[in-house]
Amino acid sequence: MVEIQIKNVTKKYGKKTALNNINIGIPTGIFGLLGSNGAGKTTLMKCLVGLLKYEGQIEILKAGIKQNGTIKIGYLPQRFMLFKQLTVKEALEYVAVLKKVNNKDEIDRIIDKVNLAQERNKKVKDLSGGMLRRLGIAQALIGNPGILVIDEPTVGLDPKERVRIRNLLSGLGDEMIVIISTHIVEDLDAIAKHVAILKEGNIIEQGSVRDLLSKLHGKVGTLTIKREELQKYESGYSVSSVSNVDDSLLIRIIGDKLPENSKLEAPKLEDVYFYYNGVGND
Amino acid sequence: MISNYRKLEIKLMGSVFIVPIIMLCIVVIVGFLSVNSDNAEYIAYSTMENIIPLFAGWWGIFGMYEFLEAEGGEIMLTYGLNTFSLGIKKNLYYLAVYIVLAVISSAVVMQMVMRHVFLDMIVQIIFQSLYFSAFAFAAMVLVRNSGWSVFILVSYFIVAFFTNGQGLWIFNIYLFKQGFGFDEYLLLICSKCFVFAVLFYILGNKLIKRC
Repeated sequence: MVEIQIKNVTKKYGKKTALNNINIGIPTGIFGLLGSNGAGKTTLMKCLVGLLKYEGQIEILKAGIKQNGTIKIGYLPQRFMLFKQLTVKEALEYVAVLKKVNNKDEIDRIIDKVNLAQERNKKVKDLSGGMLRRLGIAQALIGNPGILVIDEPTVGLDPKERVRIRNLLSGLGDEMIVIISTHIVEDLDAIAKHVAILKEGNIIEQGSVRDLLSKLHGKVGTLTIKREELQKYESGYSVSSVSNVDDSLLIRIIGDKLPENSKLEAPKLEDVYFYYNGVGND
Repeated sequence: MISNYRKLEIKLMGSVFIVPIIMLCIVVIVGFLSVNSDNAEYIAYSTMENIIPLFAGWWGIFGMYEFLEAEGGEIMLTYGLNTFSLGIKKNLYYLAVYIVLAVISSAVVMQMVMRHVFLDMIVQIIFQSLYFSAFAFAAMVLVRNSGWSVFILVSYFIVAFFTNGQGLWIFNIYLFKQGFGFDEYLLLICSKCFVFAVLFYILGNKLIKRC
């Protein structure tokens, strides 16, 4: 069931069109917005949370997320370095006051939820990158928003912290609409139910992950090739990975018609992204 | 909860919060040390005019650091707050607190030096502080950098100080008088401070909304 309807949204910066007539239906759960850098993901996120003016309409259909006429949306931008002088707990208390949330227990609950209990008295400026992202998610959760909008949640984090953030977001997806924008496909691979792929301000594909994967059945394969053949395959297919096998190369290719000697593989979300977006566009 | 909020706001500013308080203490100390001087009245007047208004915008600048300068400050607009409450309202709150402290400090200095509190000086300080507070607000909104905002304010002061106000053209709000007392020039400067302060606040409020 669609809970947020984005209708004909266009955003221009001067003559440059950052978003071109975007139409997306966002259901409950985790929704992924995929695209390379500069595709328009952050602009769309900012339109969603009300930080940018735009042409078109964004309708919030989900019930129970309005308070005094204001839609409760939690937002974490890509760059977050606020409240450096405060401790984790103080920072969240400050946010709670700004959001007019008086429930002190909520802060403790959120601190536990984002796994920052041990750091609650640590100054924000002393937190690691991953802890800072978790604090960012915590500030977004204060006030119990029905929608969480998170821009590039795992950029610059180590693998362990990335998994931790992914698991945290996965859990939140059961409680609210979580919209994640990223160019790192693995961030969404296991957790997103629906995705939209943005390219140069346009939606090039959208739907449930299951449907998108099923569309790629028979279009993803691997094959072993000689090194000198790589260029030939790159010009004919999307080559999503290349690995060395003895003197040869094992490549994973995506295309409407695969070579006969290729071995069919089950498609992954990364293949969907490469199929629609092209490998060479990042 | 409100007092806790202010406490956290002050903590957010860090060590820079104390600077205006130190400067007001310096004004009082200079007044105290000049009590027996032949030029006591002139020293007291100059110190008050040169120091007190200049620091009126300090808390306004650093109070907006999180919103305007720190990375991710725009999220505050998703908290249900508007640019007015994050900008002008906050700036005026700090100005009001500063004016109370400034009036007390200058009253102490005048009482020490002249055994009398001159109302004209109080009025002058209030209007000049209003001007600087609005000027600081507009500067911070324009450059979105606390360091550069302070630089702009200090540059303004330095030009005024070394050119006796003439280098600032119509933007001069200093009197550089030798003593106290109401006169037409004071009324003109106060009017100018008020008009420019309103213009700075309008300009700043317009700029703060840009996305």
